[in-house]
Amino acid sequence: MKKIILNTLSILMAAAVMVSCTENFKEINEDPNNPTKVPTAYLMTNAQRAIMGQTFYFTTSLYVQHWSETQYTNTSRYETAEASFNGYYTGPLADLQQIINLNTDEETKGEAAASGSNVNQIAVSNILKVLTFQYITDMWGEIPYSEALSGVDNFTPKYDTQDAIYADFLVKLTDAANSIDESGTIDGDIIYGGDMTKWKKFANALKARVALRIGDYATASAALANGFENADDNALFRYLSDADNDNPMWAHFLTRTDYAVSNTMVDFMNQRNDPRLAIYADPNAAGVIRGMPYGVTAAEAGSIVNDSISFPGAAARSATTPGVIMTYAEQLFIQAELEQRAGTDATATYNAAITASMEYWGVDAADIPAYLAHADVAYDPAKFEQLIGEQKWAALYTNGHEAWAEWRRLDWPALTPAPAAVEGRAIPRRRAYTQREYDLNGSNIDEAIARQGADLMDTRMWWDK
Amino acid sequence: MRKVLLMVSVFSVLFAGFAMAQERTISGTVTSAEDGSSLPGVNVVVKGTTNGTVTDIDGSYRLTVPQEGGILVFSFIGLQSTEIEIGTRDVLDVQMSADVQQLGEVVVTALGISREKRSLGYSVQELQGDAVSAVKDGNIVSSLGGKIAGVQVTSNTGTVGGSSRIIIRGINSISGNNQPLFVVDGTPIDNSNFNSAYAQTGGGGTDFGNTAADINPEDIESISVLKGANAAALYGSRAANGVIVITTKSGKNRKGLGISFTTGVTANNAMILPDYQNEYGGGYKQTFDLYNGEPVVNYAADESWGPRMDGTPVRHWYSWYEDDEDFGRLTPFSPNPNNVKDFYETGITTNNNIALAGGNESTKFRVSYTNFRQSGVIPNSQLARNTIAVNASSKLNEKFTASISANYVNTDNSGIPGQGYGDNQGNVVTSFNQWFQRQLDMDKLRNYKTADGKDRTWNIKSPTNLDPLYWENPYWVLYESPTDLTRERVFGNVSVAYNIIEGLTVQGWARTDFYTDRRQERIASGSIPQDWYRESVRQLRENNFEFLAQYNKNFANDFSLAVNLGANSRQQSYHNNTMGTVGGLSVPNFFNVDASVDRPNITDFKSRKTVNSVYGSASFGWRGTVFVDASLRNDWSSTLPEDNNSYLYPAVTGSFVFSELLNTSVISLGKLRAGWSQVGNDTDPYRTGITYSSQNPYGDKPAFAVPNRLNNPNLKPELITSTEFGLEMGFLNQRVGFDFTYYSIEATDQILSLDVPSTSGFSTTVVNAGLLTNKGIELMITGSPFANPNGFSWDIGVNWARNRNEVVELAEGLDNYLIDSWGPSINAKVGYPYGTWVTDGFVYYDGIEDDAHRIVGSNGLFERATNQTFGSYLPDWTGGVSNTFSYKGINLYALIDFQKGGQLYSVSNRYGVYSGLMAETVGNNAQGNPLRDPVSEGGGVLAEGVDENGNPNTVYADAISYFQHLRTRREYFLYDASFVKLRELKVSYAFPSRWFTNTPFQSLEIAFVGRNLAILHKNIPNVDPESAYGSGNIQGFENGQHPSTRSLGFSLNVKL
Repeated sequence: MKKIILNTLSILMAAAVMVSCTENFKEINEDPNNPTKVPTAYLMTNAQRAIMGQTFYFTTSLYVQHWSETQYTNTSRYETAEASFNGYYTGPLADLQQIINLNTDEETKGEAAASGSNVNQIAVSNILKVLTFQYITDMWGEIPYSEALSGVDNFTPKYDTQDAIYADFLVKLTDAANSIDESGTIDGDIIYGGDMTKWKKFANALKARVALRIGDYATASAALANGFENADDNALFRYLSDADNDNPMWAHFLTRTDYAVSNTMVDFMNQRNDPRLAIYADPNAAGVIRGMPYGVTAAEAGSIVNDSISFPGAAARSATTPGVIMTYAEQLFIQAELEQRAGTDATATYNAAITASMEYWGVDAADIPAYLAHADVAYDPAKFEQLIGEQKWAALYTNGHEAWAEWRRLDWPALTPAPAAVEGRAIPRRRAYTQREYDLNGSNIDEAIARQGADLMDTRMWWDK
Repeated sequence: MRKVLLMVSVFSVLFAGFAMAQERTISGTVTSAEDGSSLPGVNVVVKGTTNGTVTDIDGSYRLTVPQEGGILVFSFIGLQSTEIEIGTRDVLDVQMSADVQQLGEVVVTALGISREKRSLGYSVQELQGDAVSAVKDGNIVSSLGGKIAGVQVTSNTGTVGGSSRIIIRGINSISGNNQPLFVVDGTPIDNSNFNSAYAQTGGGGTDFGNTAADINPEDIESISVLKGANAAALYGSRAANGVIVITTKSGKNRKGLGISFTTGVTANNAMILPDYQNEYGGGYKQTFDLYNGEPVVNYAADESWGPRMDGTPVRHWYSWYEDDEDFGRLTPFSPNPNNVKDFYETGITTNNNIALAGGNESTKFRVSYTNFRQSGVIPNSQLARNTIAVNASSKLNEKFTASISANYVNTDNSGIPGQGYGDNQGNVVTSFNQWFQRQLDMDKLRNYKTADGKDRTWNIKSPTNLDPLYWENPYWVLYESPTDLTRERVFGNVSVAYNIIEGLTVQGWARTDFYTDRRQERIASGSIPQDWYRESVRQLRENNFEFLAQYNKNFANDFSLAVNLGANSRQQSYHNNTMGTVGGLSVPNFFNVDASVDRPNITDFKSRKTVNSVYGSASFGWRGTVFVDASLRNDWSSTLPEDNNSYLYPAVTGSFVFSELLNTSVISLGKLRAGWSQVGNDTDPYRTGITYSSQNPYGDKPAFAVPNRLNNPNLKPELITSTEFGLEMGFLNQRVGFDFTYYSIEATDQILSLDVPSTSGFSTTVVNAGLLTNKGIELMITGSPFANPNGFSWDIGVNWARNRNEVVELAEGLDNYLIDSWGPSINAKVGYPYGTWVTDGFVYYDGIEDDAHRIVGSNGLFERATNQTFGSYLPDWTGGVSNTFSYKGINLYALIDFQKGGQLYSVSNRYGVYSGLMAETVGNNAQGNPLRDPVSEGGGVLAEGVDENGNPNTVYADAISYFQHLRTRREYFLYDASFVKLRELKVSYAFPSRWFTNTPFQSLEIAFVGRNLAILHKNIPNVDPESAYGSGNIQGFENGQHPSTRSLGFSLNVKL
C-alpha cells in the first residue's frame, strides 16, 4: 500500500516538476514576427516616406482652392474642424527620434554608425523633425514639442507656444547645418541619396522658410546664402510606380474622381494666360479646361458631370509625380520678398522665381517672357505682397501645405470663401485638436487653448496675427 | 518550484491517512434502469459499516468487503436506494432507477467531474443536448441564448456563417477576451474571431464568424454552464468569463442496433426589412434634367431626393445598355416597393445526422456523421459543414481504461457577403438601405453583366460613360467578387485511466484542438476598386497534456471526501500567412497571389504561448447537508516577464442544504450557497519586449518602423476576484422551484493596451491598471403546473438576470479608454458601464432631456452638442421564458427571449434618412403639405423642439437640410436595443412505441421547428435590435445590417 502511495506521489511530483519548468519561457516569448534590432537606415527610409504620407495635401490644396471637390464637398465647405496629428508623431517623428536616440546612446551608437556617421544621421533626423514639426504647428498652432516623443517618460507632454517652437527650429537647423560632415554619407535616404552637401543646403533653405514665416528677415537672409543653388538641389520625394510607393493622387484616381481643378485656379491662370495651366489641368471632354466651381453644395456639385470639368493633369498625378518638399523656386520667392523688405529691387529674383517654377513644370522657355510681362504678373514693388503671394500660390501647386501657410501669412491671393460654407464659415486658418487628445492630455490642451484662443478653425497662428 | 513542493506535500498528507487492510474485493458497474447509461458518483457502502466508495465516471466501483460478505447499499440522490446481499459474488452489477420521491441532479462540473448539484457552492446550469439540436442554428453559440440566466448572446443571424457572441455575467476584461471558454469532453476549444476591428465596428469587411461554431449540436449529450470563477476556478486563467462544458454523446451498454438518424430541413427568409418610402425616386431635386431633349434620371445620385415616381417616361439607366429590351426607350418613372424584398432569396438549411452507438461491459463506442448545409437569403452565400465524431472507451483490464474522443470538422463557407458600411468588398445591403434610388427595378439588375463581361449598374457615370460610379450592380458584387472560407479542424483527446485502489484513480490525457482556416477574398476585374485577391491561412493549435488524480471516500453516511490533484501543460501556437495582391491583377480575374502586379503584401505572423499549471481541490461533505470545496491553482505563463510569470490563486465554496434539517413536505429542497474565488490571468504573447515592425520596402530599401505600441517589461498577472451567494428552493416535490444568485466580481491589474497621447511617439502602451466591477443577480424559476406523464403536462422555465457593470478606475490620470469607434465611440469610462457611447447629441433646453426640449436654431435645424455621454451597449437585463406542453406524445415547445436596454447605433437609419430612402422622409407636415415641397410653398419639416428661449420651434426647414443635418446629431441614431423575440418553436409528435414492437424501430419523432420567428417588441425602426459584426468587445454598431432571418421547417428522428 505504501508503495502505491509512493508511486502515486512520484507520478504527481514528476508531473508537477514537468509543468513548472519555465526554462524555455523566455525563448517562447521572443517575438518571431518583429526584429529587436534593425539598421537605422531602415528607419530613415520609413520616416521619409511616412512624412510624405502625412502631409494633408489633399485637404490643404482644397483650402487654398487649387482643387475643388466634385461631389462630396464637405472639406471644401470646411465641415470638419478636428484633424488628427497622431500619424505625424507615431509615424515619422517616432522613427526619427529613435534614430537620434540610437545614434546618441553610448551602448548603441557604434552599431548605429553602420548606416552612416552618428553626426550625419542625427543632423538629417533633426532637419526632418523640423520639417515635420513645422507642418504640424502650422496646422494646429500650439503642439507638444519640447516634451514630445519621450515615450514612457512622459505620457502627458505639455503644449509649447509657437514662438518657442519656432525659436527652437532655428537652433536645430543651425546645429544640423554646422554639424554635417560633408565627406560622409548616410544610408536609407530617399530624398538626397545620402548627399550630405545637399542636406546642408536644404537645412539652410528650410531655415529661410522658417525664419520668413515668423518675420525674422535677417536670419532668413543669412540662411539663404547657404541654401539651394539651383533646381538640382530641390528637396523632392521620388515616388515609385509600385502601389506601395506611388503618388497618393495617382492612387486616388485609380478608383475615384473626387478632386478636380478649382475654377479659382483656372480663372486666375486663364486671366494671365499662364502656360502652366495646360500642365496643371487636363481638358474636359469637350477639349477645354474648365474649373470645378469651388465649395458648392453636394447637390450642386453632384449635378455637374465629370465630363464637363478639368481634373489635375498627368504631371500632377502620375504614379511617379514627385512629392514636393521644397524647391529652388520657393527659395527664390523667399529671396524676392526678403530683398523687397530690405529695400532692394526684387524684380530680377521675382522673375527668376516664376521662371524656376515654369521650368519645374516643364513649360517651354519661349513661353515664359510673355507671362512675366503680363500686366497682372509684372513686378510692382508697391504691390509686392499681392504679387509674391499670388505667384507663390500659383507656383506651390501640389504643395498645398506651404501654399496654405503662405496664404495665411500674406493674405494673398484674395480668395473668396466657399459659397456653401458650413455655417457660413471663413476659410480655415487652423485645424482643431481631436477628441482623443482632449481625452488623453486634457489639462495641457486646456492651457494651450487659454493661451492661443478657441479651438476653432478661424483662430489664427501666432505668426498670422 | 517551492510552491509546487508545498502543494504536493500538503496533498500527500491527505493521502497518507487512507491506507487500510483488505480481505477480499468486489467490483461491478452501476447503470441506469431507464437508459442503461453508466452512473458515476453512486455511493456504495457495506451496510452497517463505514466501509464504502463511490462509482467512477464509467459507473464502476471496486470495494473491499469482509470475507463473509454482507449487504451492499447503493445510494444516490434522486435514485432509489438499493440493498443487495453480496453472498459469494465477486462481481455485482446493479441497475438503479429514478426515485420520484427524492430529488437531486448530477451535473458536470469543472474538469468534467460529475457531481451532485446539491453539493455545489456555486450556480451551475445544465442543458441537455436537444436544447441546442432540436431547433437548430448554424452556430451553437446562438442556440444558447435565452436559456440560461446570466448568459447574453448576440448573433448576426442575417449572414450565413456569421458571428455569435456570448457573455456570462458581464465584462471582466477591458481590452481582452470576455467570452467563456468552450470545453468539449475536457478539451478546450478555440473560439477565435479573426474579423478586423474595422469590420466589427460595421466599417466594412467580412464577418467570418467565431470558430466555436464548429461544435456540432447533434453530438452533444449535455452542456453545463459554469458561470464564472467560482464554478470554474480549476480551469485557471481562462475561467474568469465562465466555461461552457460540453459532454458529447457516447456509446452505452445497450441492446439493439443503436442507429439514430435525424434529418431536418428549414426555409430561411428575411424577417425584417426597413420601411422604405415609395413616393420619390433617385436624384437631388424633384425635376428631371434633359439630355438630348429627353428626361433622364440622375444616375450619379445614390440618394432618393429626386422627382416623384409619377410614371413620367424617362431614360432609365438600362436604356443606355444596348442589350436591354428598353434600350433607347423612355419608360415610366414608377415605384417598385418590393425591389429590395425581391432581392432576398429563400435560404434552405438541411441537416442530416446518422449515429451508431453501442457497447458491452468493457467497451463502448459511438460514431456519428453530420452534414449541415445552409444557403443564405443574400444570393450566392452558402455554408456546408461535415462533422465526424468518434467516442470510444475500453476497459483494458480491471485497472486500466483507455478512451478516445475525436472530432473532424470541415467547414466550407462561400460567397460570404460583405458587412457594414462597406469598403472594397462592398455590402449590397448598405446600398439598399443607405445609398439607393427607390425606383430601381430589381428585375432589370438581375442581368448584371454585359456580353463583354462589364458591370451593368444603375449608378453609371453618365449616358456616355457606363462605368460604375460609386455602386456596382449588387449581383455583380456577390457573384463576381465572392469571399470564401474553408476550415478543417480536428479536436479531441486520448486518455488512460489507472485505478490504483478503490476510490483512487489517476488519469492522463493528451488533448488537441487544431485547425487550418483559409480565407479567399476577391475583387473582380472591372469593379470600381482595383482588382484584387487576398488569401489568408491561419493555423491554430492548442495541445493540453493533463494529469489528474482523483480520490473519493465515504465514511459511512456521515462524511464524504473527494480530492483532486492535477497538472496541466497548455501549449498554444498560431500562425497566420496572409498574402494580398498589390497594384491589380496581371491577368483579369486570375485570382492568385502570383497575379500581383506589384510586390504582394505579406503578413507572416507566428505566436507561441505555454502555460503550465498545478492544481488541487478537496471537497468535504457532511450527511448530505453541509459541503465545503477548496481549491488552489498555480500557473506559469510564458507571456509574462520572467520575474512575474508565476501566480497562485485560491477558491473556497460551500453549501448548506437546510431542507435536510426540516421536516416538511412543502419544502422539498432548500439550499444556501456561498463562494469566493480568485483567478489570475496572463496576457498575449510578445507584450514585454521592444521590437520594430516591418513595412513595405521602398524599391530596394527595406523599411522598418518604431511600432505604435510601447511594450512593457514589467507586466504582472491580472487578478479577478468573484464572490457569490445563492439560494435554491424547491417546493411540492419540485413542482415549483427557484434558484437565486447574487454575485460580485472585481477585476484588477488589468493588462491593458492603454491609449496614450500620440505626441509621446506611441499610440498605446501596455500597463497593469484598472478596476472593473460586475454586480448582478440571477433568477431561475421552474414550474410544472400540470404533470401527468400519461396526460397533459406543462413545464415552464423562466430565467432572468441583471448585471451592473462599472469601470471604477483606469490607469492613473486616465478616465477614459477608447474601445473603438466608427463615428460615435464606445468607451470604458470611469464611473460608467463598459461600452458607454460618446458622440454628438442635441442641445436640451434647461437640461430637460426629452424630444420636446431639443433646441432648434433660427434655421429650423437642431443645435448640436459635441462629445456627449450616452448609455452603454450592455443591456440592463436579459432573460427567457420557455414553455413545454405535452399530451400523449404531442409536444409543443416555445422559447421567448428578451433584452431590456443596451444602446445600438444605427447607421442604416442615419443614412437611410440622409438619402431620403426611409418612409420617415415623406408624408405631410402639420400644414398638410408634403414635407419635401419647398418651404416657400408650405412644405418643409418642423423640427420638434424649442428655440433658445424655450418657445416651441416655428421655423420650417427644407426637408433635405433637415434630414441630412441629422447625420451629425448622432444621438438621434442611438436607439434602445430592447427586444422580445419568439426565438424557438417546436411542435413534435413521437409515435407510440407500441407501434414498433416486432420492428427494428425503437422510436420515431417528427417535428415542425422554427427559429427567430418574430420580433414581438422593439424600439428601433427599420433594423433588428440584435446586431453583431464579430464576437469581440466591439459591439453596439449597426451598419447595413443583413436582414435577420426567420427559419421554419421540419425534422425527423428515427432510432433503430
